[in-house]
Amino acid sequence: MTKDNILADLQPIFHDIFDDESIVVTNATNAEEIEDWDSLSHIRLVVAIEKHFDIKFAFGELQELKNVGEMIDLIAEKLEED
Amino acid sequence: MLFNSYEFLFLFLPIVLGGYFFFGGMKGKSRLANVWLVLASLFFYSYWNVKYLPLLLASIGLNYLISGYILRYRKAKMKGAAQKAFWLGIVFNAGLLGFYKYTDFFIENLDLLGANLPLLHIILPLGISFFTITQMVFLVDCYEEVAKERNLIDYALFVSFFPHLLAGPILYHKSMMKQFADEKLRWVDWENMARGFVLFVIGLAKKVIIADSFVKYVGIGYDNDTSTLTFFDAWLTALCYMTQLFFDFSGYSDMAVGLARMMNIKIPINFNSPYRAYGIIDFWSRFHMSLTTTITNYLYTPMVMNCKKITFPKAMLATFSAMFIAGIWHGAGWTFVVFGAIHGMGLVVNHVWKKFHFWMWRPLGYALTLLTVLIGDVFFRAKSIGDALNMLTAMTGANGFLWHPKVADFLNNHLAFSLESNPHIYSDFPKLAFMSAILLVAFVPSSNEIIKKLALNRKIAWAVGIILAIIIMLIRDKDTEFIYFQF
Repeated sequence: MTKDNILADLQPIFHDIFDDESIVVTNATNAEEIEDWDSLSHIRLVVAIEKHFDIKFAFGELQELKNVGEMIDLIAEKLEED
Repeated sequence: MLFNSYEFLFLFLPIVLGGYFFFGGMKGKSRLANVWLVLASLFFYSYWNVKYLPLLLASIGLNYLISGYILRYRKAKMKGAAQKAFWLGIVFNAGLLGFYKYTDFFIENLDLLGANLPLLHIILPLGISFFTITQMVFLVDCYEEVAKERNLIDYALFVSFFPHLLAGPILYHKSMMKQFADEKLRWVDWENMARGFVLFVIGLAKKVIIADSFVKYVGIGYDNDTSTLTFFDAWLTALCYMTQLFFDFSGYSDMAVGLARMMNIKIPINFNSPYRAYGIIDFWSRFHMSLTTTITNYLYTPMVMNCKKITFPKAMLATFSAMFIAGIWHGAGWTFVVFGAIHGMGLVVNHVWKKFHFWMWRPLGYALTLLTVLIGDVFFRAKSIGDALNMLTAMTGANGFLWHPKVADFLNNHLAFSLESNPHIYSDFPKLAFMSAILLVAFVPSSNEIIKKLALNRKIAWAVGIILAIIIMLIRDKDTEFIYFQF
């Protein structure tokens, strides 16, 4: 799965979690830009991504996931491991 | 050793930096630079009291040993054994912290319930809360196979690295190990040196010029009979402490980040203009940020993830519990329990407000945030719950008003009021520091923003030099400890 594919898959997940169809996720999107991206929605986002890609994140990786670019890198890394 | 002392500024820092870059530049042997930093950090720690050095070493050694087992079992797919080793490590760390930090508090409360046990008067070893939490987080990272690199020297450096050893910022193994392994970082980079040094001086100024100006006035208010406080002096004392706490701790954190940067090591920033926060959630994303991140990722998230179905009430319970535990982590005492509860409630109310899109007038939101923090800080500083309640009672005006004589005379003479006054409660109030602090908090960008954009030229060099000279004169007769060293 390419990183572009991952980004495309993330789009609807973000729309669903933040209940906002107008969000356009890019590699540069981060938690500061989306107002509702707080600790609670972060967990819901992480759980949704884990389920969609069938991967598991460590607690020590949660911080990297606050930035979509790093998030995609990490997802790609995990998908390759499998 | 304190960052704001002559020993540190004129001996320790230049020698350590010199040694670091000297060894770092040696071909094939530049790893000696890390050994040098470990030795320097252990000396830094022992300078306060060498008696506690074995404790620090034992903590580092045992955690390293246990983490080795966790990783080995994980690799061999022996999950059960890894889990056992992991919990052994967690119990060891929690036990160590529990013994040193909470034993006397526990005995005190048993005595209140009728037991008659003598207190042990255990002295809290410096930095223990920080090096314990750092290593507990590290064990979780090992168990989840995020922390894989094995090197005793680098591990010892990760825990003991002197800029962060005593009061954070809390570091993560993965990002530090990458940096400690990179030999290019052991060469002088003048841009990092300059920006790191300026950040260090800004932190030093926050501590020595501003925070320390409040020590006396805050002490008069909190450490004497708090039942004699009246409206104005209670408010001024509470506001002074809130200001002191921020300038003291963010000053320390700036110094830590600046010192690390001078050695080309990046450690996370800890403050981002917290008193400009809108809401308690926002406040904690700007105040002691490394603690918030740690608590969120390693305490709150596991609690929420453990629920089969994540619901809003469960998440709120986890939010409150995590903040409550963070409160008690600060210190053993009922005041810290209340501090944790106030902020836990603040977070929950804030989340509920957001979820249901309740209306809020923006200026009121800012004011309520600061007021919540102010009330929390009263408990944070007061020596007992009784003292804190006295302070808050006085702040409501229930103990009367004693005006500044000038104001009282003016109003009494011109408007026929009969206001009481008392010059003594105003005589030690640090007017200048207070006014400057308010202006800084309200209008000046955070120190990390300043450092990012700072043009490095001769004018700035002069300004920094002059500030440093003033600081050096100010610390001549008093180098005061940092508030967070007691935690």
